[in-house]
This record gives sequence, structure tokens and C-alpha cells, in this order.
Amino acid sequence: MTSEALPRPRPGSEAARLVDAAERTAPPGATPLVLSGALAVLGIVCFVIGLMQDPVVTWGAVAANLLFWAGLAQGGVVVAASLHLAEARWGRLIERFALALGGFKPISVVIAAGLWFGRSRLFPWMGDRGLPPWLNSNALVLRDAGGLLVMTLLSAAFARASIRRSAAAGPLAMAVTILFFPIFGILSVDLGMSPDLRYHSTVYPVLYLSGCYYSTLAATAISVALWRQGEVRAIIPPKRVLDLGNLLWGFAIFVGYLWWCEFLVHWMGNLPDEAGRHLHLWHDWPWRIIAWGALACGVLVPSAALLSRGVKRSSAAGGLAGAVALAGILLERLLDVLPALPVERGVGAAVLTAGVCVGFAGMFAVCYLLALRRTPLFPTEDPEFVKELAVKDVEV
Amino acid sequence: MALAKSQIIERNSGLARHERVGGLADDPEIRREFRELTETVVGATGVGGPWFTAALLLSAGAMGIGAVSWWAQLNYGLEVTGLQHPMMWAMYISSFVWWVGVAHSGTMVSAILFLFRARFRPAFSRTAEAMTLIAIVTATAFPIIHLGRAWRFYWLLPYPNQRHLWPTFRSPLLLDVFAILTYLLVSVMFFWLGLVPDLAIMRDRAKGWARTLYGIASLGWQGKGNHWHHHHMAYGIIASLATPLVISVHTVVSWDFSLGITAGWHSTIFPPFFVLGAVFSGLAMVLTLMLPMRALLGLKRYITLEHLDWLARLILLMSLLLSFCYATEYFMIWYGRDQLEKVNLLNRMTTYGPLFWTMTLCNSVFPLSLFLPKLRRNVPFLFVLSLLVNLGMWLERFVVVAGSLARDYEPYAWAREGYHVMLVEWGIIVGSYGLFFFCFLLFVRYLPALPIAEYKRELLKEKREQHALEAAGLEREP
Amino acid sequence: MSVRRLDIEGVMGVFTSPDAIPRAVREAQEAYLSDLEIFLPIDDKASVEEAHPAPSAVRWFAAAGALFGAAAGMGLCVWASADYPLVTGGKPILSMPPFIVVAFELMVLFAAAGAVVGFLRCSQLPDLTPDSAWRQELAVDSPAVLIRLVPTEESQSLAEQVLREAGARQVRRVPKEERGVLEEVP
Repeated sequence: MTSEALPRPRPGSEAARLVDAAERTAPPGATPLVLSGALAVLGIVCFVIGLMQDPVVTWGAVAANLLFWAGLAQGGVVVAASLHLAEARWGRLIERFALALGGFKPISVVIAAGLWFGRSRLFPWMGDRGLPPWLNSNALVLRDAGGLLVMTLLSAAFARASIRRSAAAGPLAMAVTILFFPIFGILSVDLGMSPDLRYHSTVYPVLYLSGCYYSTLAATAISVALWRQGEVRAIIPPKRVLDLGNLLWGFAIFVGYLWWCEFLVHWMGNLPDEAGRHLHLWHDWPWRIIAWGALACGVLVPSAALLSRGVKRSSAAGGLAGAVALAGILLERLLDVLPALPVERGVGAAVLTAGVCVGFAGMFAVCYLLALRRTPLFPTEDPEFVKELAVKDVEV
Repeated sequence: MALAKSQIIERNSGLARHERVGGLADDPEIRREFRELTETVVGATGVGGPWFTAALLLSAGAMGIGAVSWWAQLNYGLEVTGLQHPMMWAMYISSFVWWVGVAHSGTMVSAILFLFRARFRPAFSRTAEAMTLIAIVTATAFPIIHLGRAWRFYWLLPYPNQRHLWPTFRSPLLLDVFAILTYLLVSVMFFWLGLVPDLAIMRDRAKGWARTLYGIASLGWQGKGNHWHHHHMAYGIIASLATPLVISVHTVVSWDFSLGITAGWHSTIFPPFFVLGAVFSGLAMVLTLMLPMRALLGLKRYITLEHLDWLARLILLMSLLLSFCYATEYFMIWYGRDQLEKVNLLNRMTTYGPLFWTMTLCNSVFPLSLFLPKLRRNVPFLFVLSLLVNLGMWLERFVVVAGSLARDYEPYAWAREGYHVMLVEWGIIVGSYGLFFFCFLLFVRYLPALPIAEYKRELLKEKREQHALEAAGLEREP
Repeated sequence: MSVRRLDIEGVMGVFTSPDAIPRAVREAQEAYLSDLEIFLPIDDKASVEEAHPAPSAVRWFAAAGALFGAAAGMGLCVWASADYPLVTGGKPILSMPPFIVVAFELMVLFAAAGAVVGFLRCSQLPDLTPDSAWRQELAVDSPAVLIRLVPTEESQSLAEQVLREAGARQVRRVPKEERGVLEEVP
């Protein structure tokens, strides 16, 4: 079943003008693509050097970045699917920005499979006796890469159905959203929790999944800030930027709340394994810098900055808050993985980690920009998008 | 000379917003719809008749049973209950948590959906807010009943005394006192503030003592510009505050359990897990209340099948999230290799098996039927499902609270059998339902079941959108 | 030119829909009839913002309440714990994590109370005496604009003309009336 024929707005009306502007919106140029590619190459070089100099830190950084960027990529598809399922008409204005984040997913499958080569570095317990069946490094890599592959195929199918406005988009959106939880929950346990056998926290998968959703909203805010110029300012009015800002602020608070939930239970229980881990993260060098940085960037700064309505209505401010939030969540992922590994702490390790992060950022940006070039930035063929433009000035 | 509607639309289509004239300014439809809505909702408050009286008497009877049961407990002590070591928290605490949970979705529907500007909010918000208030009052009774020596309840409060005794602020039980009291007071403020414009309408139609009461409660509201201006700000602020408050209150309630190191309780997922469960059970209770109300008060035009569909979708979402939380907990128990946690969980699944599996069916399996659109709009089905969800959530509270206590660190202290619920406990539980429904029936009788002013605003917004779409040539004129 | 002074509250125009109110307010202000009161059956943002462009001060009351509540909550916890220094669970006497929870709860409570107090103060409620212009229909389906401070026949005629041109379906002069507390008005 295909959707109905698109009614065109009355010529000369504001809606018609905006639809024309949306159709004329240019895709990203070559320059950002080239710059991103250069960063990606830099990252690969750092990775190769790191394998020779300090493989534990290198593989740890790769695992942490995979957790972050794969989560961001999938979160983009899940946000687009959520907007589709909620039938939020205003979501049509930003859904392509979110959907395009999923462009990184095929790369994430390859990297997840590639973790097999570094499994002895990532999982210090490998080879120990008496471990439960879940902690088998081969099976771990297989299920994670397999899960990412399943989600990649499903996400691609949803993206295609959403762009073509086919009836399959609804069920696919549902499937993507539902499977996101168990598959990425397992990914978070495997990569974020299992390096440290003493660490098991029931809220951690929830924290990770919320972080993915949060980082997607942050990335979407950045995209809106970058693209909302000229006529696009009229297409995405301040009240929709405010809505996005409210969502971002809400998730900043929510992620902070989940952190607090974990902290308070461990603080009050005062059990050696749990409290010991907190002391290690929040008091030992250099992890305490990363921990406080993650808290500040991921929670405190965005939630304080986005308190103001005026700030939320500004796409530039929202984009800046989003960038800070992304940095905070990335630091959190590094904190999930690296402290559990026998890493050599020092400037060299920090540089390697930063290099791997930059490389991943470059690869992600390349995939994102290529995805945006393949599809129109706005769904001008979608009647709900056109209706949203027509009613954008209606207020109560 | 007045322009024809089509001429107005054509003229407006090329103008910016502030330049548009006419439009809906002369539309008599709006007045008619406003009047009809007002008459319908105000008319519904005069509800009476044999069914209403019977329901009121039944609730009052249930309250009576509760009162007698509590009198017996006060007279003979907690020995008349099934509470004994190690299961010192059971029926009353489970009910307390359940009632607080029911209260939560009222604020969720009202405050959070207000912030999201959800279209279907006005259909449920008033009922949900009333449900919140009554449920939180009912919930507050349970810790006091559970004390045994209820007359010493004020020891929970930090008051200065000559012995310099203070409750410990490190205890989650005291955090609970602050959280629940705050929630109660903020809910009262939120409910009353939203009611003020509608109370003014009730005042204008009332006579005698009723007019006086409505008049005082509505503060002499006349819908002036500065009234609305400040009302809008105050309501928005309280809605923004109520949102984190909802989450924090049930989080604090969950901390009553998770801040200890009891097996089965010491779990970091408890806060979001309890909040999700609270919203889930509360939404089901909203359905349980709204479905009969909609039919008996003649509100089907304003609480449509589409509204029910959206509520059902929310319930399905909550069920899926809750199932994920269950799965995460069970997985972590297996993954964590803590023997005691495993024994504890196994005990809940076996000794309390009937309760555990009924809970799983009601919370995780039956709501999956809401994937089917036809069932989401089937009123009898939704009503039955809402009752099952309410049951499932209460069982969950009981299984978590009492079931976890049954297997603690010392095997010699393990409870040999399941918990024995005594007549007094049943009586008090029944009494709590009696209190809830009695107060709810009074709400239905004396207060508007729908937010009249807000619903009118939603109607106007729909009309404006319709007009904008017509002006853009995207909709045919009627 | 004769100037006749009449003892009336003002000139009221009753409209069909809230959509007409912003234009009516604007045109009255352009005609230097700036002492206006609007009556609405709903919270219509456009109409209210036209008549009351300044942001509401209620938020400052809420902010003050929030600050007070947070400080009071933290102060209560610290003072009470220091006054009765009982070690429980091996935790320090002044343990910030649970104190933060109490401070948060009281912050929310007093912020909400501040918002309510601010609402009452700024709206000058309760005001149990009905306005001379008040009619029941204004709360049901009829938005209205009342132009005050029109003591002369000329100013009243001007007000009537402005309201009619703005689309009022009914224009009338409202006499000053002394009404009792909660007096019934048709």
C-alpha cells in the first residue's frame, strides 16, 4: 500500500514558499567530507601506532568508542522511529537529521567483529577457569557483531521505508525500537561491564541506552544548528527548536538521575566491590578527571544552560549544548571501559585515546555526511511535513 | 460589508500571521462548541440516580470494614496481622507502594503531557489529577497503619524537642516522609490551580452553600487577561516542577528497598523500575476509572476512541519497558553469580510462584495484545485489561517486598512457607479501596470531570489548524 | 461642543471568538484607549500577550521559593544532624547525598508554593466581588474587551466605534454597579 498523492499548497501561500525552500536545500558540500576523512585517516594511523606501543589502551579506546558511536548511530534510527510511532507531525522537520546518523552502522559491525583480534587485551579474565558460560570471548564478539548486523539491516529497511513513505515503515519502526533494548543492552554489558568482573549494576544497561538516546538528541541539535540558516530558519521555527531543546534538557536531567541512582545505592550499601569501584573512578588519577568531566559536560553544563527558554529557542546555543553533552557521554563511555583494564597511565595513553576518538569522530562524520547527500534533508513528499509547514504559526 | 469565508481565506493566504484579519474571528461554530462542551461537562456533575447511590454506599461500606479492621489492629496490636520475622514488610507496604504508583500517572498524564502539548491530554488530565490526590492520601495512610502504634506517627517528622532527638536524615524512610508530603502538597496546588477557571463556571450555576464554596475556591475568578496571564505562568511552572517530582518521589520510595543490602532489593535499577511500574499501574487505573465514567456521564464525544487508543499505546510502551527491566534484573542475577540473589529469585518464582507468574502474565504478556489496533479501541477489553494490569502491579509489589524478605542472609531465619494474610489485613486493604472510590465518586459528583477551559483551548487550536490548512489549500472547505 | 460626563464603568464589546481579541486590543490602543480589560473563556496566548506583553512576575516568586526551600532543606538536615550526632550505617554525620534529596524536595515544594503565592499576588486574587462588566457568558463562550476610562460621551462613542469595527457582535455601555460578595450575576 502506498501513501496518498501529495496535495500541493496553494501557490503564493507561505506553505508553498517553504516547501520550495525545503526542496532547494543543498546537501553538504565536499569540504566537510574531506576534513572528516582526514580525521578518520589520522585515527587509523593512531590505532596502528597504538597497537604497537600500547595495545591495551588502544583496544580499550576502540571498545569505548564503539559503544559510543554505535549507540549514537542506532539512537538516530530509534529517535526517527520513535517520532514516526508517536505520529509527531513536528518530528518530520528533524527526522532526516536523526535518521542519517545511522549511516555509521555498517562500519560499527565491522569494528565489532574486529574486536575479536583484541579480545585478550579487552577481557583480562580470558583464559580463567570457572567462568560462567556468558563470559566466553568468542561468543561475546559473535553475539555483539551479530546483533549489530541485525540492527543494521533492520535500520536500513526502516530508513528506506520511511523515505519512500511505505506502509512497512510503521512495523519496522516498532521492530527497530523494541530490538534496540535487548541488543544494545547486551552490547553494553559485554563491552562496558564485563571487563571488570566485580562490576554488575542492573541500571547500567538502562544508563547506556538512555545515553544513546540523549547523545542522538544532542547530535540532532548540532545538525539543526549547522543547517538552520537562510530559508531553513523559517522551515524550522523557534518553537520547534525550543521543543528539541526541552527534549535535550529533559534527557540531560534523566541521565544525571540514572547516574545518581547508581551512585546512591552503592554509597549507602557500602559493599566493597561497589564502593571500591566508585572510589577508583572518582578518586584515583587520571580517572577522576574523566569522571568529573563526564558529569560536568554530560549533565551539569547542558542542564544549567538549557534552563533558559531563550537559550533553548536558539539553535546555535542548542547546538553548543549538544556538543558539550556529546563530549560528556563519550567521556562516560571511556570511563566505563578503560579503568577496568590494566592500562599504562600517562600522556602517551591519553594521546592514543584521543587519537582513536578523533578517528572515530571522523569516520562517523564521513558516514553521516554521505547519508545526508543520498537523501533530501526534508521529506517534502510527506503530506504531514507540508501540513506542519502550513500550521507552524498556529499558537494557542 | 462582511467578506465571504472563501474571500477571507484567499486574502489571508498571502499574508503573514500578524496581518491576517477575519479568519476565525467571526466563526459562530466556536461559540456553539464552547457552549456545548460547558453544558455537557457541567451537566455531568449533577450525576445521581440509583447506580451512583449504590456505588457510594458500597464504597462507604468498604470504608467501614477498613475502619473496623483498623480498630481491631489498634486494639490488639500487630499480632492480628501476618507480619512476623523475617517478613516484617508485606501487605501494608506493598499497598503503600502500589497506591503511590497509582498516584504517579496522574501527574505524568497531567504535567508531563502538558509540557509535551499532547493533544489527547485534556481528555484524561482532570480525572488523572483527582486520582493522584485521592491515591496519595490513601497511600499516606498505610505507613501510619503499618506503624502499629499509629498515634506516634508524628515521630516521623523532624520537630524540635527538649531531648534534642531528631530523625536521621540519612534514612530513606525519612526521605520518604519529605517526598510524599511534598508530592501531596504540590498535587493539591496543581489540581486546584487547574480547577480555578472551571470552578468559576460551577460557581455561576450554583446556588446557596454550593455557590459560596465554589466561589471561595475559585477565588472570584473572572477570566480577565491578567488572571490568565499569571495563571498560565504559575501552571506551567508547577507542571515543570511536578515532572521531576513525580520521578523523585517514587525513586525515594524505591530507595526504601534498594538502599539496603537485602537480597532481591539491593539493585540499582529499582528507581527507574519503580517509576515505570508506577506510571504503568496508574495509567491502567486511569482507564479503569475513565471507561465507566465516559459511558455513564455521557462524555463519549469528548473522550473518544482515539484518546483511548493513545492511552492504550502508552500502556503498551510502559509494559514493554517494564518487561525489559524484569529481564535486566533476572539477567544480572544470573550474570553476577551471587548465590543468595539466585536463591532469592528462585524462591520468588516457586514458593510465590502463583503470584509471580500471574504478575508476569498480567504485566508482560497480556498487554502485548495492545499491538492490535482493534483491541486498543475495544472498550470492554480495555477495561478488563486495566483490571489485570492493576492486579499484576499489586502482585509485583508484594512479590518484590515480601518475597525478597523471605530469603535473607541467614538460612535459619528463612520463612518456611508463604506469607499468611490475615483478615484484618484484608479488611484494611478493602477499606483503602473504599476510601479511594468514595472520594472519587464525590469528585465526579461535585467537580467537572474534564478541564473545560483547556478542552476549549484544544478545540480552538484544532479549528485554527484547520483554517490554516484551508488557507494553504491543503484541506477542502466544508 | 458639549461634553457630557456619564457615570459608567466603560464600554464593552463582546466578540464571537478569541481570534478577534488581539486586533480589537491593538485598534483600541491605537485610538489612545489604552485602559483595557479583556475577558476570555480560555487561556488564549495571542490575546493575553497583546493585552499583557510583559512577562509574568510569578516566575520570580517561584525562584525565590526554590532558593528558600533548598537552603531550608539543607539547613534543616545539617543542623538536625549536628544537634543529634548519631552515627548510623558507618556514614559521616553530615552526609551530603541524602541531604541533597531533602533539599531537592523542599526546593520543589517551596517553588510551587511561591508560584501559587505569586499567582495570587500578581492577579490580585481572591477578589470575590464581581466586576460591573461581568456576565456568565464571558466564562462560557464569549470573549470581550472592556474599554475603561471613557468619562465623556465622545470617548464612549469612539470606543463603541472601535469595538464595532474590530468585529464585536455586541457593544454596550456598562454602568457602574456596586455588587456584593459572590453576588449572582446572569
